[in-house]
Amino acid sequence: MKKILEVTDLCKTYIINKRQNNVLRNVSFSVDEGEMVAVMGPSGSGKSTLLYTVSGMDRMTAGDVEFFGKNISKLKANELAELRLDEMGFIFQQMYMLKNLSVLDNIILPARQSKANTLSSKEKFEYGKELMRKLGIIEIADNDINEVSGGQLQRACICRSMINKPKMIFADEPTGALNRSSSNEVMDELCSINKEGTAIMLVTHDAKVAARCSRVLYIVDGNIKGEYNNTESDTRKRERALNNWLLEMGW
Amino acid sequence: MYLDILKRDLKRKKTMNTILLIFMILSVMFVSSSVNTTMSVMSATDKFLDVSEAKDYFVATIGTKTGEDAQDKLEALDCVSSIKSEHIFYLNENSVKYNGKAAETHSTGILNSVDDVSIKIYDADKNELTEVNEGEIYAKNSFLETNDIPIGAKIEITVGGYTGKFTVKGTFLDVLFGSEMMGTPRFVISPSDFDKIAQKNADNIFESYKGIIMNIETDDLSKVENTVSGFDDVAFTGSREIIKLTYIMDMITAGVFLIISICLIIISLVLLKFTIGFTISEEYREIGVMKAIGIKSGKIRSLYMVKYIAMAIVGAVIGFFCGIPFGNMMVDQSSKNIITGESTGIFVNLLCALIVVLVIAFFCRLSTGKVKKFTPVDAIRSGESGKRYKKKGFIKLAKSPAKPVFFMAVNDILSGFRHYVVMTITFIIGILMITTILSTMSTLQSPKLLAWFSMADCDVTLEDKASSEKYTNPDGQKLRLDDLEEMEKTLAENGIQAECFAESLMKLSIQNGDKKAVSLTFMGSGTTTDQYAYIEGTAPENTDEVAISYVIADKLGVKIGDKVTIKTGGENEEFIVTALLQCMNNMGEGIRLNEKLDMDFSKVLGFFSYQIKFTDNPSASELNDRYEKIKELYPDYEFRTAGEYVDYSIGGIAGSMSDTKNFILMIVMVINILVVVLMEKSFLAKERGEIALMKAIGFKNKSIIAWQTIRVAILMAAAVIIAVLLTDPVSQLAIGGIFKTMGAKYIIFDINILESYVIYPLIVFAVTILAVFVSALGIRSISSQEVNNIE
Repeated sequence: MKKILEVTDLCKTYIINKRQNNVLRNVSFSVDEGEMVAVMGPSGSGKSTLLYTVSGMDRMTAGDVEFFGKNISKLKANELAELRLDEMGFIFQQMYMLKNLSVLDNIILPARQSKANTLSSKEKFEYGKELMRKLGIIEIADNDINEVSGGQLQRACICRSMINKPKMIFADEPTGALNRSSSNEVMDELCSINKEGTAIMLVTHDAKVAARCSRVLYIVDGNIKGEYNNTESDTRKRERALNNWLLEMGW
Repeated sequence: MYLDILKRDLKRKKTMNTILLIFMILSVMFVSSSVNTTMSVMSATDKFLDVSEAKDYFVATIGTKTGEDAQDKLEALDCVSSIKSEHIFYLNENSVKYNGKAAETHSTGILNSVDDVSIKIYDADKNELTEVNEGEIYAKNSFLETNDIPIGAKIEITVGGYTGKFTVKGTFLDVLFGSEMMGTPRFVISPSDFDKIAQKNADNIFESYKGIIMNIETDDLSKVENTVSGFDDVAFTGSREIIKLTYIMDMITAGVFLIISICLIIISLVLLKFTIGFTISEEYREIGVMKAIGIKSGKIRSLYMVKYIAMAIVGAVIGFFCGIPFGNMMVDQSSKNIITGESTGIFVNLLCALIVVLVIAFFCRLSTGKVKKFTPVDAIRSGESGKRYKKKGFIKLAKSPAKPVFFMAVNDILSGFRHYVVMTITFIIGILMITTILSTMSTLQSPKLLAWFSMADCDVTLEDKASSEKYTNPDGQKLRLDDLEEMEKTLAENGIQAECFAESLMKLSIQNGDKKAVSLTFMGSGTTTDQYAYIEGTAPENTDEVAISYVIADKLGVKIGDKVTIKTGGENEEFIVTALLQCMNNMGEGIRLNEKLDMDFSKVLGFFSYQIKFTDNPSASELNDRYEKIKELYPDYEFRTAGEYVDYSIGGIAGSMSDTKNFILMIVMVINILVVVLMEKSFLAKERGEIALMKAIGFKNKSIIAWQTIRVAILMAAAVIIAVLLTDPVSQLAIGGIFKTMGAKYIIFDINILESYVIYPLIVFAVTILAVFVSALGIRSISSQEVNNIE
């Protein structure tokens, strides 16, 4: 399998009140094409920082991150913005959207902004609607964002992350604000996207969510303490095996 | 505990609190200085007349003997309680020379001894002028400015048999002849120099150079006016009200400052209301938390009230001190020819500061009123008050061909226009302030105004300083017509097809029954009466017909078709009123006689310049060539285009308004910069999360800066359009009244489209947008990770 994300000796340090806080310490891992990787760990272990740093949303202190062969530590702010717009998709725990735009407008906004996306405005509009239809939320296309439920909004966020057909989606606790039923629906969508070939890296506290990923990285105090490959095909067995492994890790 | 919450709030929300404090300081500063300026300006002319000890009526006579007789007759009236008189010398247009050339005096000048002036006069520092050294002279400011004469220069004065040189010591403020409209320049010299001139002119042949001005105190003005209308050789009469009216042009500048002051007060209050509302809406989430843990609404409200009132007091103290120099600057700028009296004082500033604090407390109480209505959950939802189904977007990106950044800017405005109203109002007021003064200035320089100064339409005027001596004789009209014919011939020989004509000016007594008036009277040379503008009726085509101004018509109670008696020469003649006209000479009083009427021109008071009207519609480039040719042909005459002549007739007020225009432009730009910088900072604080989200999904900094800038640019463009549409009605409302006071029933503002509607709005637009752009650069410090701050 081709490596699409390769992280080597990644360090991230914050200076707070003149005190050095090493959030990530020499983290190394890689993500292969079509892979779905979960990052787990206790609160404050550096999961979200890892996600933001490898996706170019935050600058690293040291180390290298290669995304499709591009060393993102060497990219300028504008180049990073282009990378995020055209080749990456993002899903956040809170269903962040621009409040003055309708749901559909929020979804197609990155497509309209992208120069790499060569579809016409009409085609982008149709593709946005197609994604919404696929995720079962077409009926809320013209709604304002305060008119829809959390689950619907998170699926809209997934549509937005997909609009420019990214090579990889980064998700920070995508089900964290959802109830179990909505959470399952969102994960079904992400798995389906993944099956179509888009790599996904997600941060989660939920073992059930992590169990649906092909690989789980367990991070503690800024270091990857362990790595778990989900090989079981039966869902219950996968969850049980992962829970056992997490217990071993000190979860 | 509350003190702790407040302390932490001040520390944590430094940006918003600083913005609010700055607005509070500005409000106190603008309100106190503006109220001060308004009060000073409103009472300026009355105060000036009072401090100058000007009484109720002034009469200036030609000849000392005539003056003394007139004084005796006036003193004999019961209604006259005192007369203070002064002896003067008249200076004709060639009497004052600078660098060997006759200086521009506009009209007959007056020379006085400093110890004999019947009113109090003041030096440039507004101290009473009581002494002038021998060999020194004080002159009217506009005289020195017109002739580029610096203080310390030497000017030569010729009066009858005397010629002497004087050093210009300074300028002085003179309520009687000091206004821009009062063309007469007064000069003040030492008593010893005045005596020397008197001795040289003791002979009776110099009687016409001498005169007396009387400052009359009376309780029956009409009786005095009636008595004076019977005097011969009266050069000037004017009541206190007429003198006030001569300051109308100065009051245009002052009026503009009045408008600025009112605008600043409106802007301050609107900004305050917005900022308080905005900052309190920022607190909703915390208000919700406090409510949720059981703190009563009253306590929460008092917490914010304490915070805002404390800030208001700090702002009021700082604004109070900043307002004093700012107010003085505004008052000083508002008029250069008027003593605006003592500043209304610190008490007014203090009172204004107190009022602003109370207004802030009121706004704060209004804005915190919602706290009571909200449930904790509503407040946490940022004051949405449970109504979750409120449509925001009216337009859809999906259906719009616009670029996302532009679309978002338009959509933001349409979705929440309330947030941008303050900014738009501020922009509109600012642009209006500039376009109003520009339209006033261009109108004051417009050739179209010639019609309202009792002149026929023309392209060029030529002033012949010797004309008064040449034509003031019984055959003056014939001589003048011959000269005009000669001028037409000379121009034609030089390839300029033109008609030449001129206007003569008399002061005649007009009567309807027992109602009398002494009015300026106009008679054309080389024109026909149909060349002039009338507001009603038809031109007086026959010699026994007359057109009168509506002011005179009102005064005499006559209408078109009525007969009036006019004293032409020594005899009373009857005339039929065929038309009403409006004129801005002598505050609307005017009579037009038919040009064929046989008039004794020795009674003529003065002559307007020669007027030249091209008859072949030359192109703009050809016009310039013709101007040069005419200057070449008549080097001794003062050349002016029609527009320049209008400006000159009004006393060059448009030129002096130029400083005011620049001052206003500066104020508008400073206000716009302050408003957009502070508001942009407010927006950045509120939209931090959204900006982070845009960054996270791949928007570049430049796109986000463009979004923020375009939003303000759209508002600014809308403001420019609205201001342009409002310029004419606002000018009519604010400045039209001043023209009405001068005698014009209506005035069409002659607006220079390019300057008023394009160049100046563009300057303000560019500066404002630059300020937004620089402020929006602040988005660079927002990280995409701050997406978690989104509400």
